[in-house]
Amino acid sequence: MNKYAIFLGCTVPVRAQHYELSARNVAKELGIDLVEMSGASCCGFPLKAVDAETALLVAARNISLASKIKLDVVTLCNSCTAMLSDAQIQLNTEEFHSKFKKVGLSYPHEVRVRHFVRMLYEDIGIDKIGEAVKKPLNGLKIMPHYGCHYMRPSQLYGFDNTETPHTLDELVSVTGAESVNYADKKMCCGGSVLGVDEELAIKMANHKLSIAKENGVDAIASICPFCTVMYEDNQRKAEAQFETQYGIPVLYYPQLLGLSLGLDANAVGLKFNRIKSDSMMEKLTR
Amino acid sequence: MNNKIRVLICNCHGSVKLPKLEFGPDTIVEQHDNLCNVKPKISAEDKVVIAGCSPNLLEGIYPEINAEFVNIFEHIALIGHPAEKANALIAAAIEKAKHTEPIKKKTFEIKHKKALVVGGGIAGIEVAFQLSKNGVDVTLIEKKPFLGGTVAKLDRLYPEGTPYSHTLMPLISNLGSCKKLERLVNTTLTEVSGRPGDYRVALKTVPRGVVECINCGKCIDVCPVEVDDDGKKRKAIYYLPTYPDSYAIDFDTCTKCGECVKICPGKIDLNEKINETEINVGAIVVATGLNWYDVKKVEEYGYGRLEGVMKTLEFERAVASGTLHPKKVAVIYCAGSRDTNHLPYCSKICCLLGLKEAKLVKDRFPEAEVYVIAMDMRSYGTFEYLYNKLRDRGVSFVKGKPSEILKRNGSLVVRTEDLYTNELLEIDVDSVVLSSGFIADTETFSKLNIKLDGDFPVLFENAGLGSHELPRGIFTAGAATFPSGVAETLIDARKASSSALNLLREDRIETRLPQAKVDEEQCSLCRMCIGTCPYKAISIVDDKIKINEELCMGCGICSVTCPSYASQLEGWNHRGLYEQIRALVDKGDLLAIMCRWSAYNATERAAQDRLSYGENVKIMRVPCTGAVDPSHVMLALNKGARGVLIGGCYPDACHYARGNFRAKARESILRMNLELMGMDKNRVRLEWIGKDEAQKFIKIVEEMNK
Amino acid sequence: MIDLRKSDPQFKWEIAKREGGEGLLKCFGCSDCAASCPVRYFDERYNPRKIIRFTLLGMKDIVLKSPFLWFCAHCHACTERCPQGIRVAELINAIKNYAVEQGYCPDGYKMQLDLLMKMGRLYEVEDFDLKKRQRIGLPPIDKTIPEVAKILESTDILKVLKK
Repeated sequence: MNKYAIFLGCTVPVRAQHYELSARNVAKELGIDLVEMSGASCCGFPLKAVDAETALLVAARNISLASKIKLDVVTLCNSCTAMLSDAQIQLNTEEFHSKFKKVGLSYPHEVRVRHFVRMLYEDIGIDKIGEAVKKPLNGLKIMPHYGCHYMRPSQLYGFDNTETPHTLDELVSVTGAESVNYADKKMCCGGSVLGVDEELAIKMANHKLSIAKENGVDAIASICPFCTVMYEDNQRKAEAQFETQYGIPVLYYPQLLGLSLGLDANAVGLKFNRIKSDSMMEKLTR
Repeated sequence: MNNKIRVLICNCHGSVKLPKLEFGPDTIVEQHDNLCNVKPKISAEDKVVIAGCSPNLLEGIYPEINAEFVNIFEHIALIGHPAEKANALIAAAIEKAKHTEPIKKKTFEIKHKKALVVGGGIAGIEVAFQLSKNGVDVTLIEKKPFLGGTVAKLDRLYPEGTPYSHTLMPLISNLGSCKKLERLVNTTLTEVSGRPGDYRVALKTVPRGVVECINCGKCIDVCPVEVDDDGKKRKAIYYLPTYPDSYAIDFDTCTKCGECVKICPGKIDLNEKINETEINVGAIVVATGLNWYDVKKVEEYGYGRLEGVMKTLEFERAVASGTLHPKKVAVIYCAGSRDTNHLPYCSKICCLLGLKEAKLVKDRFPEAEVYVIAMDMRSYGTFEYLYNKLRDRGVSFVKGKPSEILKRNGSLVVRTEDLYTNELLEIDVDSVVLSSGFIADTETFSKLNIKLDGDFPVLFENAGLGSHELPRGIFTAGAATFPSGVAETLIDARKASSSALNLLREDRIETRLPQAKVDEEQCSLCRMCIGTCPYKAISIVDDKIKINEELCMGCGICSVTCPSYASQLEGWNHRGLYEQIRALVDKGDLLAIMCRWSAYNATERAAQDRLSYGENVKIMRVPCTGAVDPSHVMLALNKGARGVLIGGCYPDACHYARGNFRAKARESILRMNLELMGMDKNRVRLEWIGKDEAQKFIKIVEEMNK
Repeated sequence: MIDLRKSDPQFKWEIAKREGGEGLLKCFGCSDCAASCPVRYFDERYNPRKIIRFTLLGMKDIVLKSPFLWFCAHCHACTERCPQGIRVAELINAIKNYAVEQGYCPDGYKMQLDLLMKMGRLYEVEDFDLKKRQRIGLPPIDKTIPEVAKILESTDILKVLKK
């Protein structure tokens, strides 16, 4: 049985419960055991711009929690993945490890950190997921959005391909939906600049929303709560700023996968999505 | 042969006040007044000490003998030091000579007056022609079924765009008049052994498939396999108008369906055997030409993924053959070049290839729009005129390195920042030409043990700078040396030809460069010398340390690294140097051990500039500071020297790559030990002293004398 | 015009010695970073190449006082493409860290730090959230994680920000 410590971070457990819910339910369906990380805090990423070393220490404390229960970590947020992965690598350096020990932390057992979706791709695999699909999402056009810290920096991950990413496309395709290929697939959602310049952030989000509209997609598949804030929560603002209409649902990938595995709308928390996916669901029942 | 040591003293037309002329019963002293003009008869077996002016000068006058040199002109007479000091210097050199074996000259017999030329492109063809014309027996091998190499694939040559055939055809027909020339296509070199003048080379020839051919071309009509040969379509059986005048089968793509066999009025054999032979040659010229970098690895540019993204060669062939009519073209420079993820170096000619393709478009389709996107335009020398011309022709130049190429609404979009305008640009085009760089033929180089600088042969070596005293039987020519255009390739080919000729016209060649020697009985096989050698000249062969004579440059670094004194540099052996210092150093002296390439020259320069220094400063000449043994330094201190100065080349300027860094490491340890022993660590100093830095030398010895 | 008499020749060395800043001196100004940058794509006021080049020229004030330094989304698009192997996003982050030390920290970051001091997380977990989680079958979570404050107190970050 695949068993992992699940790291939730700040946003997911409070603002994106439907992501968490669908991920947990998908895990159950696929025979994955997710163990709680009691005492887990913010990953540390918000501190990086202020002081990278302090951010790494906060991240490393979270890793030490998983280390104590000897479980590899899976995360739901791209930025948490990057921050924790960085700390995990730094823990193997003499210099950082001594600072880490100085604040009274320990790292008794080597653990890996990966994004939940990467874990699905690597440990469960496309074939096995395909076998578990009961209600293929035939007829849906889904636009995969990878987000930045899912595969970048490659130095940290060595996973997928930073120029031509394909793992999420494959994971979308295996649900039976069509994964839309489009230019600027690697473009950032703008989430990181939301706090600095909202207008600019919306501009960045709008770029992909407009591509989604051009391609007539049924939904955007996201794997990061930040990206979803930009594409879903701020979709109205983008519509206002650019005088257009989108109404494009933004689903977390585990929600889509859950539907294809036969989970019902409640089990994947569909009602918590701000932009309703009624027309998409209608297509499925037809 | 005389067992006594001949001591030749030159008074330089009376300008040097002569010291005493008695150095004990083992010596014969001869007095001269201009050793630079009147050369006494000396045999190579004689042990000789020459006391005169600069050894840099005298070594050139007496290249054939082994001598210890003492500079009594610059180090004594010019600066007014007493004649007694000259005595001491000469006596010490005599002690060294007593304990030094003369350098044994190595001679190589040029047994085979024959050359192998590897690679049948323009460089190889030209070398084969030049050698053959001068009476050398030549075997020219080419791995492809036809001669011609890269040039035969081109449409045109830069800068003007003249057709490739204007250059290639005369070169090919030159070969027709050669008498002692063997041309082997589909042939590669598999193994090489031996030494200059006597190489044994194993060759492998794979079949061309077409045995007898009347050039009717019927085979092409029936061949079902269509091949994209760098942008030009052809069949699996094909013909190039070069050499040999016969069709050939490309067995990489041939399906062996047998259609050609059926229709051929001559003879096609799809199952010919591989032929392996061995030949003996005296010299080998490597002319393996250009190897394109696999630009697919530059993933952001989408080669192999996005239709319309091409390499320069493909684009040129497609336009030339009329299959491509571009309307809007972007030529992207440095696609994978000067990039630590790909090729860290500049391939030199790709800027010009890019300009050539831009001109090709403008020549064929004047209405077409052309963007050349370059982070730097390196149109070196007079190729600048081509760049000028293209601006006049309306080509748009953008300065930047495109981040990626996207496919949007059916066209290719190049995204780049333009550093001229400081704006981000997106350029919609139908064709993208990637001007990528070239990689070295490391496979051939390693088979032939060619010294490399990064991936390519060391250029200094190739120009004969650095190892001019070493006999070399392997030469590189043309783009194999480094990517080059047609003109430079041909010039380089002629240079390589004359180098090879110089070797092959001799019956024997010799070298008097001192080399490291290993005493097998002393050697404990600790292997420390292997890592310390800057030239990778030391290896283990049959459980014995072996020094590759072609690679050893005679720096002596290994001799100091060796803990068993098994490795010794000829002419500078441990015992000889030990005895020299023992005889030389008196109480209160300052011993200056100077590198012959830099600091030693500074001491002479001081005299020429009439800059004097303390009479207690005694100067010794060594091949490299890396060859200075710490135990010799300690000996000098034990003999009462107040200090030892080791003078060498500046950090990146060592004649032997990194001898001075070795010396620096040893100096730090020495100084640390002095401190531990309660001595003043400043009694030992290693200093970088350039060959003209007389002032610096004086300043340091004054400091050390305080 | 930029007056280079005002340049600080030590600035580039200060940045180069920091974690992430090590590649600074390798920059040859090709601007692949700027062409790859999604922020620069939408807003030309931010340009990583200019920040790097100004840093190399020692124009400390221009770099540190610029509000646009904080526009970097840390997306690493530049890092992936830099032909000189510079970890550009980490380099920009090193400059940000240096700017904070020099007293130029945007208020937003100070607010986030306060939240982390207080709760150990960015969003307050209210009773309403816990009830909602329970209702839909999600496990409970800690409201606050005081250990984070301990870590923050152990480093210089608080002192630096008070400057």
